[in-house]
Amino acid sequence: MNRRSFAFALFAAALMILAPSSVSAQSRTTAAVRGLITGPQGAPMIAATVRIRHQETGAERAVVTNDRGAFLVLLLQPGGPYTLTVEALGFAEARREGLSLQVGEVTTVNIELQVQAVELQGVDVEVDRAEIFNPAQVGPATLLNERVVESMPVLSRDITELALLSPLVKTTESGGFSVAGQNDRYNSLLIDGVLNKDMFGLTAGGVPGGQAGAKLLPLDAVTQYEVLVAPFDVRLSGFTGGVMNAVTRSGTNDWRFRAAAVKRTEALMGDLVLPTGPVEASGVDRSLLALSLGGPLVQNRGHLYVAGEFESRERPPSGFNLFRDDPAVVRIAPEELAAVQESFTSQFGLDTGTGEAYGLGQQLANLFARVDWNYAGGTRITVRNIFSLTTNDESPNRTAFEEYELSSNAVERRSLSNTTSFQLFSPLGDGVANQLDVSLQRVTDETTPNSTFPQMEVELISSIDETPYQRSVRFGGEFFGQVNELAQTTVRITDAVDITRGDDVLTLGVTGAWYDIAHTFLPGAGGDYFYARLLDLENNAPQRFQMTRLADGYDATASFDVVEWGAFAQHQLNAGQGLSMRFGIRVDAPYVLGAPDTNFEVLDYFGYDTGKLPSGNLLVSPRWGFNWQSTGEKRWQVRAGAGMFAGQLPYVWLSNAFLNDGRRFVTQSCSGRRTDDPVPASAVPAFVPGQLPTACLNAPMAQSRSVVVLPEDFKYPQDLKFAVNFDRELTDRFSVTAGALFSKAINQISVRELNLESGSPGPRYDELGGFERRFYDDLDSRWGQVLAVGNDGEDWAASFSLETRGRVTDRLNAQVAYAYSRSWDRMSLMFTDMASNYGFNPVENEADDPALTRSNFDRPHKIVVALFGTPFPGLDDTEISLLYTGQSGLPFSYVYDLDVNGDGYPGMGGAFERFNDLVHVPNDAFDLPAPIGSQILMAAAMRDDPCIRDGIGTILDRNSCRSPWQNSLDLRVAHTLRLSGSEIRLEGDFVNVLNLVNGEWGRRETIPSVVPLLEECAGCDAAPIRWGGSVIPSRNASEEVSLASPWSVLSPESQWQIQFGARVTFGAGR
Amino acid sequence: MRAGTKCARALALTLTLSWIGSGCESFEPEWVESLALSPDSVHISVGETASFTATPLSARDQELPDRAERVQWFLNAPGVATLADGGTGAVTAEGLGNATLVARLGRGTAQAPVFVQPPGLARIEIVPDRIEVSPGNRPRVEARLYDAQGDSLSPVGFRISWTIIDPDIGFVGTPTGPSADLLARRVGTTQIRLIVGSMSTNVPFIVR
Repeated sequence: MNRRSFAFALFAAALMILAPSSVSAQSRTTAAVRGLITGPQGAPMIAATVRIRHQETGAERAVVTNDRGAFLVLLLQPGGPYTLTVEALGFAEARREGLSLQVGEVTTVNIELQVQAVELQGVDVEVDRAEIFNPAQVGPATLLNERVVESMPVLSRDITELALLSPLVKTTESGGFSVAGQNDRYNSLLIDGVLNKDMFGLTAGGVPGGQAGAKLLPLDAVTQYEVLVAPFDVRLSGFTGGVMNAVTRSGTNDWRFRAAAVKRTEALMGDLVLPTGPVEASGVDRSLLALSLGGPLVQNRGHLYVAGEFESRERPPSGFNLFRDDPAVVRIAPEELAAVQESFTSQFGLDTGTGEAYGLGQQLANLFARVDWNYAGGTRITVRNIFSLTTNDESPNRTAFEEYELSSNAVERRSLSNTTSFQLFSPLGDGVANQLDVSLQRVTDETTPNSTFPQMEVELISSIDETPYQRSVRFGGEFFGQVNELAQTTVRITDAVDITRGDDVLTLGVTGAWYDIAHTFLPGAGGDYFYARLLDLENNAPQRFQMTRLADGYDATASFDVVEWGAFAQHQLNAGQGLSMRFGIRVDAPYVLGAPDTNFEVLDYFGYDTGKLPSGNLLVSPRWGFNWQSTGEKRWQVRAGAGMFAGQLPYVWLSNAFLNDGRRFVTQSCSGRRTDDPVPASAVPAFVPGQLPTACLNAPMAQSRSVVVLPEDFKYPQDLKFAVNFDRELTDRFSVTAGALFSKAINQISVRELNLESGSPGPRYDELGGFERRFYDDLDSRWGQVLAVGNDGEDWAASFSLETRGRVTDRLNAQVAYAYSRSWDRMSLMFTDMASNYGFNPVENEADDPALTRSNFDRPHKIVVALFGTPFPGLDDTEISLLYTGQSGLPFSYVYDLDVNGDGYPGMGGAFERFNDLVHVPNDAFDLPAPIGSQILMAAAMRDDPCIRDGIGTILDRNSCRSPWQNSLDLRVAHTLRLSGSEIRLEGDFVNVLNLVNGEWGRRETIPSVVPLLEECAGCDAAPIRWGGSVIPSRNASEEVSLASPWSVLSPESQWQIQFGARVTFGAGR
Repeated sequence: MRAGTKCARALALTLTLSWIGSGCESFEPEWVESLALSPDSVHISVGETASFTATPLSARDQELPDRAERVQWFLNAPGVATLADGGTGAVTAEGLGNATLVARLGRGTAQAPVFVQPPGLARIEIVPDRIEVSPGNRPRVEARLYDAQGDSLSPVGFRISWTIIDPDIGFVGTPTGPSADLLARRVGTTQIRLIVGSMSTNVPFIVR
């Protein structure tokens, strides 16, 4: 954007924002109360005193009504209960008790005062019922109050799981949350309105320390949780997905101590029943201790709340483990694996680790502390500290896909996170209120491989029940974990001032953030050997070797800083007749401090300067929204909005540019066996423990350099969103909402490979859809991957949802929701490195101009049913809660394990093992240029696999296939015993109830985004390809060759489990 | 202002500002696609130095002069000529013969021949200085080389070539060497050109 356009934008926005009119906008930290005080016959009560008091802390605010009898109280702590009293000379005092305030919402309380001689209480004229009926509510949102947070079976005790109650939130293959079909790294995680997210983006979930599986907060510390899908409030930014905000608990005027324990073991777990036989429950254990304490430091003034959760978990590697499960499923014969282990250990004296199931440990510690201090006049200070320390033994790969990893090939992750935040809420008088937020966050992530010798891979052929199976086994230092550490520090300051004039509130604010990042990453620094067969291992004759070598004068750490500043202005308009409107504008500008040195070879050959990174590119986000409510019984509410949302760049992608400048490191490789005749000059030397080769057998090592560049005009992701929702009260305690949301990317991140030129197909590759496919060659063989990150604005998503909520009976609450969502993109960017984002994005024709197809986040249907309450008459202390979610399966693509189009993916070795060539399905299976056995399997696939059947005669579209529908049903039964001064709550949680009912139900399937269906037929004379190992052949009941499903069933996730918990509470506090 | 009008104005302004906010000048990568080498050839004597310049050009044929300092120079004939240190594109002749100078930068490569000839050449002549023949005749011409004192120089070591201006009138049968056989094709007047190193001279060739 040029300066003139920007200046015009600001001027136009100022006209709109400063135009007179009214209402309030609240941050995600506070709540507000407004209303109208009238006298008899509805006359406005001028200068009446309105007091609102938080009963548990004693904090109190007082305001006087204006000339219309209206009042507004801002910056209130969410929750309650509050008591509101109204006093006016000559009138009886009016009181409203038990008010509960939702974060970010404005609660309306209208009261008609009675003349004092009549001695009648003030009468409520109008009261909000469901939280969604609120003039401050514009975009689609799921709002969970304390009752829901306490009752829902969050069996992992990870608060972020509550986001799944929103029909627009889906789980992703990476374990994150996709909101309305957007990338799972594009969400914002807040605690009391303050950002608390892993800005680097190592994990899709966004939780600091998430790489080790850390939790965000102790569960007891959370009182409310909300998922905002498209909040048209300019105070919120840094997301194009959604906002998830947790509101934490504070101390009260009464002391309360709570202790809880949870236990789960394999004795309370079912077996998984598969067609190949049962998978025994084993190796699952969980113990948790939670403690919390809250109370007054000074009555009515200062309050303290602390909470801690300490947990130890053990589980077996997820998937199918040798010696426990059917070797035909594992596709490795135990004696073959034993031979590999014995040969390696006897030759080199190194431990390969185990191939059996074994215990993977995880330890989690979460601490939360909060101090609130109230001053006279309504000023309040809140200081929080959020700490987590997590260590995790990551699971080696034991799914049906890819190599079978022994325990030495796994890694241990350790993450430490600490966030301290300070908030100052200051009513400054004369209708001005200020909120200042300051936070400091420090996160460190360490990865330690389980072994220090190079990664080893041996391809095995196993005969199991006279059927040959092929699968590789891996052990040694994991390729991507050999050098891997991260430290990030974030300082953030935000200040917003609300200026109230009558009913009008104008909000002005500024924000600044500084990120300091040090990322140490050198995948393959320890080396990677590949043996084509067991005999080659016995002869110590590897077929391939690859390593990453650091250049002299460089270190493996990318250190850089990013400074972001922003400013916003917002005004809500009271347009009359129940209509309130919000209009705001926000400007953000990130600046990258530091850059790699210019690599002039890259500049002159590809035209990109590695020494210049995008910096100072403005992101302008205007937003508009309205809320219209009818009056009277059974109200209608219409809310809608439109506007721009600027997201955050996961800084791991920026770190890619620092580490991959084409000079810092080089990938070196040798290929060929030293036992071949004749011996290739580039053959791999024999492995020698403690030494890495510096040359191939008789030639220098082949070298390849990788580069990632960002152009100077690169912008963070930006979406344009439109949303409309209709809410209707069906009864006084039941409502329904129907909504639609549309998102269109304005700037969306894309990746291009620059080192390509048109080329010719390999031998017979033109038979693999050659008439539709474009073929490539390296532009320059001196370069490896040269990736340019840019912006491509064609992604779009649309969602339609229907939701009902409320009290089904006096004892039972329910929420039933359905959403239909579609999302389309050119590439889904699911990985931390740009080479994987490009290399795992399967293409049909143009590798650098992929077609707009279904996104990896496209899961069209979702159903949520939540029930909770005390349904049994006479058992008022026995609570049942049930949560069912059903969602469409994961999309995936069938690809070749072969570089069909010549673009360099997949390449040789761990650094280049990425698949992006979509499979072409022939018209006739026997036209497949493969051996007869593979043709028979293709015929079976064309008969049995609907995705392949639908694509006969074409190259399959990206993400045209889908894994099965996923069901999840969890149940909690809790009983509370009330004793004098204390309370004991006993909980029984039933995870995956469907599997308890029927052993074949409740399976949790997983599938990677790309599934290699066909691979290179090495050693075949006339056939370039053959059937790959990802889809296992067998015979069906009719003795026809058939194929197993390509997805893998996870264990123990697919088995029912029971855990018991007990919680004891002392004291009257909340 | 009516509620609906307020709504419409606010929505229109939001969309307009969104459009403004999304605009920006786009970055176009400029790599070196080719090199323009100047001169395109040199004839120098032993001991003499000739300087070349290479101008990097983008794919749109725009000059990228700030990148010229990174041009890499190569010379493939040791004993004939050498490159000056510092990568400046200066070539010094050391012995008689031919060499090829190569310049590389980015995707651009350019070549120029370097001819090293004996020293002292000051003047060249064609003998005879006028050719008048009938169609079908095959006259012969010879080159004469002289130094500054007017003494004759041996043609050995010199790059001597012949050409005819209008090939419809005649034909040069031996385009290189100290003499050339011509063929008169048809009636007309043109010229025969002798080129020795960087020198050239013409004589009339008349066919009647």
